[in-house]
Amino acid sequence: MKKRNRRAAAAVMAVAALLVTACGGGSSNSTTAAGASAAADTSGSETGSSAGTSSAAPAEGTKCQDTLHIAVQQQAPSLDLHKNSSLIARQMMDGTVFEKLVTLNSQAEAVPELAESYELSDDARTLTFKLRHGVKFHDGSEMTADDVVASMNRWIEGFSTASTMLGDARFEKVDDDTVKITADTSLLLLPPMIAGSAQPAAITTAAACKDEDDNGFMKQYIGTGPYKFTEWVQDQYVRLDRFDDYVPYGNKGEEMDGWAGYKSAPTQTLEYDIVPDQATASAGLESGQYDIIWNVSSDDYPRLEANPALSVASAQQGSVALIFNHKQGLGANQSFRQAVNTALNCDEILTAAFGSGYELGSCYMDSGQAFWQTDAGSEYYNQHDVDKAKQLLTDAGYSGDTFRILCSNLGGSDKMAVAMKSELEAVGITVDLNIVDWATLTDYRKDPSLYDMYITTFAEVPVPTLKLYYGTNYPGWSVDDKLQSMFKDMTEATTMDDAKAKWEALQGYSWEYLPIICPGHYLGQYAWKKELTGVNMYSGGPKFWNAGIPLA
Amino acid sequence: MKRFILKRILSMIPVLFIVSVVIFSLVHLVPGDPAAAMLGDMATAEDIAALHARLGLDRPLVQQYFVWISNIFHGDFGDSVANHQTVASMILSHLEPTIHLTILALIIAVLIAIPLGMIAATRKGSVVDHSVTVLSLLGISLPSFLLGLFLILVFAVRFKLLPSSGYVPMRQGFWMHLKSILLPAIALGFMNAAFMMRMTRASLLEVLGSDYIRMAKAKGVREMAIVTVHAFKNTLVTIITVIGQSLVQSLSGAAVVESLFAIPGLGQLMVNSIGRRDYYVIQSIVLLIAVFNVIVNMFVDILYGVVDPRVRVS
Repeated sequence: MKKRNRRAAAAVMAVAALLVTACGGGSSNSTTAAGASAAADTSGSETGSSAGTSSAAPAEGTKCQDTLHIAVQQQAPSLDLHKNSSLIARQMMDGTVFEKLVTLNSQAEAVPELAESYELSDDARTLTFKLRHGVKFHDGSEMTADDVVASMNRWIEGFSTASTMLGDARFEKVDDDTVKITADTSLLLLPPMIAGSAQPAAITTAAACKDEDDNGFMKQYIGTGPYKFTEWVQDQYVRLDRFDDYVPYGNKGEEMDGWAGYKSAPTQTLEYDIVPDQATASAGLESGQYDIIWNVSSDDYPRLEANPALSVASAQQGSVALIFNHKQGLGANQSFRQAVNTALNCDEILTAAFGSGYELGSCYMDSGQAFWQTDAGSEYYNQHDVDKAKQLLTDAGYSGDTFRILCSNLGGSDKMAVAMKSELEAVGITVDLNIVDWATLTDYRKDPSLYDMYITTFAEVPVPTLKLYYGTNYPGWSVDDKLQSMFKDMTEATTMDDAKAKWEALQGYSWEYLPIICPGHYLGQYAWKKELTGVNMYSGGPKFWNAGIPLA
Repeated sequence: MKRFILKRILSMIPVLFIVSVVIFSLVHLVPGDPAAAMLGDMATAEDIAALHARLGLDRPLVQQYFVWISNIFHGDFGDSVANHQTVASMILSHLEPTIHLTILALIIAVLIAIPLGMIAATRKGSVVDHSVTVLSLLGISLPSFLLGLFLILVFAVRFKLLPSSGYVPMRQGFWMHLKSILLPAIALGFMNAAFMMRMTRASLLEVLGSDYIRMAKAKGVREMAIVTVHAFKNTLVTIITVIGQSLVQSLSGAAVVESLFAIPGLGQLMVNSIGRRDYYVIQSIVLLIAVFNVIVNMFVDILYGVVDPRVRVS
């Protein structure tokens, strides 16, 4: 029942978003900070909230508990956002310590953050950003165009998707308040990439960009956000303290729109405690040791939800991908891929892995990206049609060869594989599972002789150009002229409406060609103390820049 | 004695050489790439190759082995691939929680096991004896993570007496420190206590059946004095062996308990390092545990001679 409610809420939001976008003219090429604050309201309930919601921040002047203890399961290799894509680094630092030129509003549109405004030229080849004045870094210095150019170019070089898209194009300083980039390709989708990529385009000082360790990661984490990085004790905690000289933007007291708007930092210290075991974290929340916990398991979720002292929230956090090996073996045969897709019962597969923590949906984009939602190709989704699958196997000339599925023991992939095995065997496919740890999977998947399909998950991305599996070099190797040509058309669109239309066509074809099978979307599930307010749940997990527990 | 210690130290050299070769080979045979683990999904082949070169992972394996050995002799054990710290400093920062946890677990195990084992032996066949047997069977069968979860449920969630997880260093206050490691130490110590209890009981029963004990009884020596003064001393060889084994087992096997209670010890460092294929860290921790094992066994051998002069360590 609850799952259905969440789906209904997501559907309403998606429709509303499309209407708002249509009314607002999606092809507008100029955006200002004023425009950001006029966007949709994102307030929502704390309990059972869905993507795109946040609760109201504690009222201005309210004294809050000094430290929020946030239990997280893992730590990142580095907190340098330019060069690693780990979700946990982004969840801790993006928007909290580091800010970007633009950020995402609730419609997944790029709106100004450290920029005053930005403008895309008519041919979509030049993107110009006007910078805000008087923004302070955590080291006390003031943000300059040189800092922005150094940061943005380091981000491009550290983020393969951006460097592939932009080629040799780099940011340059126009004057003290202006930077721009000019490229041979359309830059229409660059602002949302800057605003919401897995490797955020964090703005730091030019000096910090050059101060790297032997691994090439930044040694100092100097941002402009409402919290400054204070301490990281390996395997224990990461501590962020309020930055007293923070220069906020947006209007005081006004609710945030997505990630955009006024950040008040009502809590003095955010402490991310590393608690590897999820059951221990749940117990810690119930005993009062932690104020909020991450990644609540589906087993614990109903119990925590029933606890009157706690609030729970969930939101789509990414999608599951069953990636075929298109280079050789059974996965190279399109009819065989279609047979596999036709045989699958997505509900069963996702239940095996996530319990109730998932949502069905044929769209490759997650529900947080309302603008990009489409049901193109949905007629091929979640068919679970045994007879049709058998017919497709005959068409494919399948002669009983073993279909090898590679998966890791991480995040329920192995459980999905076991459920798939029985479904595929029911239509006559011989299946062999190879379950390894994640590091081994990342190694094995490079070798096309080792598997026919592997299972992974992808965190949500703001634009479909960031879907890695459309890259011909990405393990799975979807080398198909039509697919590549449609993808290129989308990246070269010069208006958002045009890009959306091309994305719909691409996704429709994808469900026929099957670079991946996307059985659905997994939810991030969180729980926190009832008194905690102001948690931003827009996308990718909770953010605490407006969160606090008011003292009685 | 000095010659014995010197001989044992010299005998460590081939042992550690073999261990170093085996662990180096095993770690490098396991699939997985530290550069790919660190850079994530978005990294290109060029990014990964560049990081390989920077980390020296593109060199021949034999060369990598000797680089590691030379790092050991430099005292820093090389740099961690993931954390840009020397492995020595990482091990040192994770050593304190593990040592304190291990020592407390051992104290708990000894305090539970030896008295109960002795009582069970002296009351053979009684309700107490059967209860101790059941308790020790439970301790051996019950996985430490399950016991740990139960302890959290009772002492942290229900009665809110102790923290459910996390580590407070000694410098922040002894009682806070003790509270932070008490539950994990009980979870870790209970299994060892069970084994120690069985061994104490069995060993004491054997000694209590000896002629000299019968003689003492015939002379009218009180039972308490027979057990504590005469018999217990002769069970010490067995108990010391079990304590030595428990110590090594606790140190090397604390990973599960440390993960459960979020104790940033060597076990957790090892588990995390395996996940990110941080070769130098994995190799160095395994080598350290091997050294520790050899040293503990050496001390156990020396103690045999102290508690039982019939054992000639030389």
